[in-house]
Amino acid sequence: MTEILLINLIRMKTVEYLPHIADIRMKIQGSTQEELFRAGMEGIGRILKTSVFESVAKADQIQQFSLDSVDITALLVEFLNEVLMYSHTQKAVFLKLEIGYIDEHKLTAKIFGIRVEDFDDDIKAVTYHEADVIINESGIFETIIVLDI
Amino acid sequence: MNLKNQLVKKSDYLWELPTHVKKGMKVPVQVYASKKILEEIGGDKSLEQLTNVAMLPGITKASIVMPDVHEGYGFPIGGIAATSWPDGGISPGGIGYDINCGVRLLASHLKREDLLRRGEDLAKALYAQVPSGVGKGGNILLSEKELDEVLRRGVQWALEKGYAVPEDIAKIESQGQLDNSDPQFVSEYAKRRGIDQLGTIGSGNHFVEVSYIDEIYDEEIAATFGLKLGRLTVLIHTGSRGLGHQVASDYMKVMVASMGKYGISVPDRELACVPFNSQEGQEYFKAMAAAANYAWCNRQVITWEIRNAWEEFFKGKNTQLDLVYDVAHNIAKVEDHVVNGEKKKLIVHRKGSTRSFGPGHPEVTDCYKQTGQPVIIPGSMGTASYVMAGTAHAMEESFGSTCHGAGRRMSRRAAQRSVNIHELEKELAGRNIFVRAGSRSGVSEEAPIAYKDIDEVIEVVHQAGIAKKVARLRPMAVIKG
Repeated sequence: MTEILLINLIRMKTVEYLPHIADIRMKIQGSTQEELFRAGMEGIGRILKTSVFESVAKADQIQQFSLDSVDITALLVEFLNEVLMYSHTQKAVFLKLEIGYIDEHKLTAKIFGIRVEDFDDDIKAVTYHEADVIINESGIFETIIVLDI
Repeated sequence: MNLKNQLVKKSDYLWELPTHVKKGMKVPVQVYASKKILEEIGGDKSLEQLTNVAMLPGITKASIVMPDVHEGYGFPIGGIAATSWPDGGISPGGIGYDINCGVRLLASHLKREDLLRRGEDLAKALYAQVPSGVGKGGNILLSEKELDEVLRRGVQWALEKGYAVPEDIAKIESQGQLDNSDPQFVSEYAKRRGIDQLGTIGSGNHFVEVSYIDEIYDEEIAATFGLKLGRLTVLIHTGSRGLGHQVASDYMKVMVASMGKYGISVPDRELACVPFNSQEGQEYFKAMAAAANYAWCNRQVITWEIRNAWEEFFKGKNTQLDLVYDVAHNIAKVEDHVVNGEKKKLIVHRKGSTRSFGPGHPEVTDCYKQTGQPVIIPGSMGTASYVMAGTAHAMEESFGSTCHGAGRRMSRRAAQRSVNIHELEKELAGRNIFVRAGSRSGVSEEAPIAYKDIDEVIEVVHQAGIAKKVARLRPMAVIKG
């Protein structure tokens, strides 16, 4: 397997956790669609296993996939659910994202991660609730994502 | 728009939002609550979410919510939405990601005194026997073929494999097997997530709790349910684990992509739905049934694990553990109900709501035909849980449904911030309640302070007549993931 060094690749400021009565609400941002998707992946990864973001490691999990969806918001939610599914089936946390192609409806992606012994917290699913990808006043892509935990 | 101010009082425990409060509502919103609970509801998005549910295609009579309501994602938790059969909407969001999350109650022949000063040891013994924790696999290794059998036949599979006794079957909602299950509509990914998780609790608010019966409200019904004052009981709260989560995610995607072709639009994509009798609707319903069967089988295998631990721990005593009942609180079923004097077949979505079928209902098992089905309502860790009975009034008022728990009132993170874990454990131990958990944050998230007053919630549904108080349980030992 290709060895890729994963070193704190993403800046935490792109993910902000907001209050929610029972689940997790996070605001994610990115200057490009790719960065927005990466921020969402980080938001999930930090809940699953915070410690993997605090050390240097070599990727031992690589997954490649394509997705089609009705719009960019649904594409993001479905991408994050795909990442979550691989996290659960491979017992891994994904830290690095390479996007081969992206438009409003399609995506090809390669994700790189690290296997873990266990997770800190569970995430059942990434929901569509409150998700709405917009470009804010500063020209940054952003959306809320609610995770069912 | 302040929806709380527009609630119309229908009785001391029932409030209504008429259809004119929001454009697009097809039916009113009905809220079962006391004034105190209503104050808490007003602080989150529950009412707004209920008005959105009231817009679902084919929704009948009302968008209903129970007093344990809190904000969810799309549908609020504690809700019931019945849509017209066969072409009303079926919505995975109205069932939730943990398909057939539910509760099972076991009754022992031992007394509280048998466990005094041994609660901590029993918690350890159960923790060792019942796998728990985030994403944790269990001790049962299924082949792909066996997993399909679990999905197809639910608890019947467990019975054949020796994880159940024949008496268990009748005391499970739907006998632990939905006939419309078809594993071919469950994705390979979902199966991969479920193949090693049978017999595991998971994490979050899922638990196994040993309690004792400290109050009997209805002697006759309690006797029928096999409940005696002072006896030890075991509660099991879990669901379909990763398999169910994946089924829900897979079909949410299908619904979001498909609803446009049926001319359906919803105010929140988590309400995404298709006609029940469409191809997508039928495929989801079959996959949901498969996940529901998995969940019943999961609680059955956990029962087996507990029975083994119990026998070993209480060696020399009467270690029989009888299944009282097993109820689902995240599920959709096709049921007959009377609406405005007319009998109708409906697709009843219960998301955080328990079936509460009354005496004489054909779907209630023979041994409970005179009393109504047992309704099991767990409280938060450290507080009481309740056993209730289904009522005829629930059939008339709430599609044979009632509440499912205490209902959160504080976020998990807020609970983690406000609860001192050492003080909580000390306080619980002072009351002879011992907790064994995989993570300390998991304990603080589930502290009693994070939940509504279970006594208040129970009083609302009892006074409203949609379930009847039978017995109260007090915790002694809790295990969590």
